[in-house]
Amino acid sequence: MDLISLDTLGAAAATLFEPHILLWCLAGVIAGFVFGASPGLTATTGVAIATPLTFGVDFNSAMALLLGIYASGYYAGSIPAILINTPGSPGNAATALPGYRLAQRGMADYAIGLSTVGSSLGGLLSLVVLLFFAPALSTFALKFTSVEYFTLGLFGLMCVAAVSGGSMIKGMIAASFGILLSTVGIDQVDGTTRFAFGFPAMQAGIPLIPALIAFFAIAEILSQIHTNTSNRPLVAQVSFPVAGLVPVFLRNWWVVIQSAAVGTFIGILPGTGPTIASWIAYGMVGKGRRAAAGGDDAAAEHEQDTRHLIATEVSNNAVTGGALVPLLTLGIPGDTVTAVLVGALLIQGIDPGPFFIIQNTDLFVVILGVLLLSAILITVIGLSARRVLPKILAIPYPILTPIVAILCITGVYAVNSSSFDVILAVVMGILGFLLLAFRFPMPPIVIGLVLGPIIETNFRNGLLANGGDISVFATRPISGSLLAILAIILGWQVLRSLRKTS
Amino acid sequence: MRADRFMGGVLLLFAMATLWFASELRILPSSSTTVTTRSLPFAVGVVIALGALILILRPSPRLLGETLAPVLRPQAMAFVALLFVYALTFRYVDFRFGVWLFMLVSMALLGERRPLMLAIMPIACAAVIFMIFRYGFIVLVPTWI
Amino acid sequence: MVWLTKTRFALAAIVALALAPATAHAQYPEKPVQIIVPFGAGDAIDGTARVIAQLLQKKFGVPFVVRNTAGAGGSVGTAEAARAPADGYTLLVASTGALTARPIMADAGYETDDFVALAQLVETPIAVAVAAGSPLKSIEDIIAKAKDGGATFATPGPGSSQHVSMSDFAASQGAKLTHISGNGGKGAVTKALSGEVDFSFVGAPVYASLAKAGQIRVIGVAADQQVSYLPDAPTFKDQGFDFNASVWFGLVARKGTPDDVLASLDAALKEIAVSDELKSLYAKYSYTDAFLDADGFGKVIAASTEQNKRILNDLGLAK
Repeated sequence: MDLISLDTLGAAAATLFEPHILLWCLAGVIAGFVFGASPGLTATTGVAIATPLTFGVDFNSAMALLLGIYASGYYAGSIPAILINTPGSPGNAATALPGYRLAQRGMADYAIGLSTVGSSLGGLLSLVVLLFFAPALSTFALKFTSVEYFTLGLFGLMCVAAVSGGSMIKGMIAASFGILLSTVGIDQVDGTTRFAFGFPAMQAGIPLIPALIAFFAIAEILSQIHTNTSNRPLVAQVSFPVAGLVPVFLRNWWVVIQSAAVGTFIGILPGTGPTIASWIAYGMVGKGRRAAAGGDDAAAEHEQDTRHLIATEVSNNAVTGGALVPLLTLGIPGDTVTAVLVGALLIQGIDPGPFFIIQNTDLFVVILGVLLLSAILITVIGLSARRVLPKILAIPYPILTPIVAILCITGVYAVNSSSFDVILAVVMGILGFLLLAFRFPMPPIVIGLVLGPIIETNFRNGLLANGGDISVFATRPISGSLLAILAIILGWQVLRSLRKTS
Repeated sequence: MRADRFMGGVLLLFAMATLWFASELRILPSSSTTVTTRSLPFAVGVVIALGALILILRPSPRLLGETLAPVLRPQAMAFVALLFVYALTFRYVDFRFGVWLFMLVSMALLGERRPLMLAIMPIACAAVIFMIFRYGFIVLVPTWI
Repeated sequence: MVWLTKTRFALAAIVALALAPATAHAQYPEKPVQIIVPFGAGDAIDGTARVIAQLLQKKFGVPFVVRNTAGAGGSVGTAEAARAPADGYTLLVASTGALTARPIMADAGYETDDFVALAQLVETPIAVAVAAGSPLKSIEDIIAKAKDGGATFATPGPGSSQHVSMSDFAASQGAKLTHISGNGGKGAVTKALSGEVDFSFVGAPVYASLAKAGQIRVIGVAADQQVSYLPDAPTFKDQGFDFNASVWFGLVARKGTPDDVLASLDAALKEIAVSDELKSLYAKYSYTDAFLDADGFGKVIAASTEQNKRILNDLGLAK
């Protein structure tokens, strides 16, 4: 790529340290924090609400505000996920598994520390990619047609194995149920309506955020009612020094790199986003084999949760830099927030497209700088807030549970201002409660719901575009290689389980 | 009875229903390929049915009574009912009043007995949550006034 | 007698009080008004709605809150607006497909005439584009390819005006096209760029920057005249085809909304239509200034409905 001249770099850097830019960015990071952490409200909503505020504002300030919301919104959803098993945004769903387990063992402070530093690292690494490889990667993104999206979706489905807990069969059933839920509503390929049972609101399908809140938060609230009636002893929370996080990250440097790569890559692909990225990164960490060798189960479990938490938080924040690649090189947004950013850029009189980086290098550098600034502010705010936040867990159970329930329901309503969604979420939550009692894992349902449409519409579109020829899935190079990797992993798993049983 | 056998049976019925509803789906005359709008629901129905059969044939030792015990506790069922009623009436009830009433009843249900708490917490929560959503997030929650 | 006067006065006062809510309509609006946008936050339609909301808010002095109820190509939000009371406190930003095509295709939960027109805000022509490296150079080429082994095209979604009108055009030329949903306008362009489909058919402004960079070639705008932001793009008419297609969106209210409410909204919108804010907004989004008042917009809706009824019946997509 053509090098950015030092002059532009210097000039842009100077603007970043103007106090009003810092203030705008700080406001954005705090707003993103609130939107990201509230169940049902996401970075996308935050950026959409803030966009009209940028009408009379110059480019630098507008970007500082909006990108601050973007970066911090993708991070902050991890906090309620860790503390109360309620992912603030879909991208933080995978964080709830290791995070909530850690918090239940009194390590909430540690978990929030991991998530904060992990998020910043993910953001920074994707920023490097954006800076150096943006134009090259945009041509790569264009190699992805329906065929490739389908195989990628299959690849993602593999992580069901990693989150199924005890029983693979139950994990598979749960994932199938999730996929079935995803077929409700208007068929994206030919426009017919499926399984709406006469409810006009069901035509839109089962919305993701209400489902997420139902199967994670509401199901969890309901199943805790039995675990204890009143006076549940609260888990004593241990504090963890910031310096102690450094060796943890050094020890797991490979997880950081791998997850940042996954997040950036998924971010570059239009139509995907942090939710898919974090599940894939989670699945790639896999199940540790150290448990068998070491013998100290608790320590091995702790290390495993640490790695999964790092993987999910690094990857979902790495999406930010990745999603900006197609936006700034082709004018095509890489995820839902960047879709809103298109509008914000147009308001500034800028049409993001192939000319953006060449014609507006200074603005490009400002965008990078603001993202850098956001990452720093996230670390500062996150690390200073993490001592206070676990105090939420000190609220007595009979008060906390109703509050969480109300926040969940209001959050569901806020997504689409739909009272139908509220009823839907409660019904799904009760269903999740029953399935949990029968030891069915919840994450595969959500994964099925997210990946179902990707697998189905792209499979059918792939066939349509290629005249019904199914062999394209194997003969197109990227798709073929992905399928081959998939086959190898599956074969190896089968072999391993065969050896175990014999 | 083993819990997994029971669930397997339920899932088998569910899979059958899925297959039946899937076969009723309308296929457009214009769609030409062999893979249609029915294909995925069919495939998923078959997978669920197979999984259900495995659960019936090789259940884990857990018993149904033990599994259902937490669900059937009066307190849990009362809370489930409360939540359900709250969701059904959400559209028609003033948000502040609804939050207050739901908080009050569920706090009492979950074992809160301090009168001061029961008096203050629901009102405080209703006020704070309403302010945050209405003015912070600009969500028009249902109101009477 | 004095007593009688007093009673009469009291009675009059009571009657006046009882009538107060009715006369209060004169001061519409007296509480926040919500504008339902049946698409997700950040769409062009959402951006426009938010600007209009802001201008209306400035005009009336009460909050006009934009509410995104996305799903099913706009029909979920439209159904939601159809269920709201007809008091002028819930307005809808209606779009071509959701308002005039969806009720013909399925039980959408509303009918087109559940709404009355307030103002058309935006109208954009739809255009055909191919990847820069594509061998297809004209509409003629596309028709030839479609007749010889078939051609594929991408639009924002099945049943969208883009899909419906292009299928109709192809049928009129005796050709058949395979439709692939791009799941949104940008998605459809991406499919053309990557070569997955032969061409895309979406609103012309979507192409502006890619066409300027030479990554995409717009080979047919379905309008009478060329558009300013795509200087090299010929129209269908230039190539000898009589085919116009456009997407529009505008404000509507529930049928049965009191006349005085409609009148005050109409007056406010007419004022906004000539404001500088709206002009600069249109320029930024590459929109043609297409403001139409209630009567004009009503005619547009009626015409679209008639056209969609015919085409959807022909295509076998009608319910």
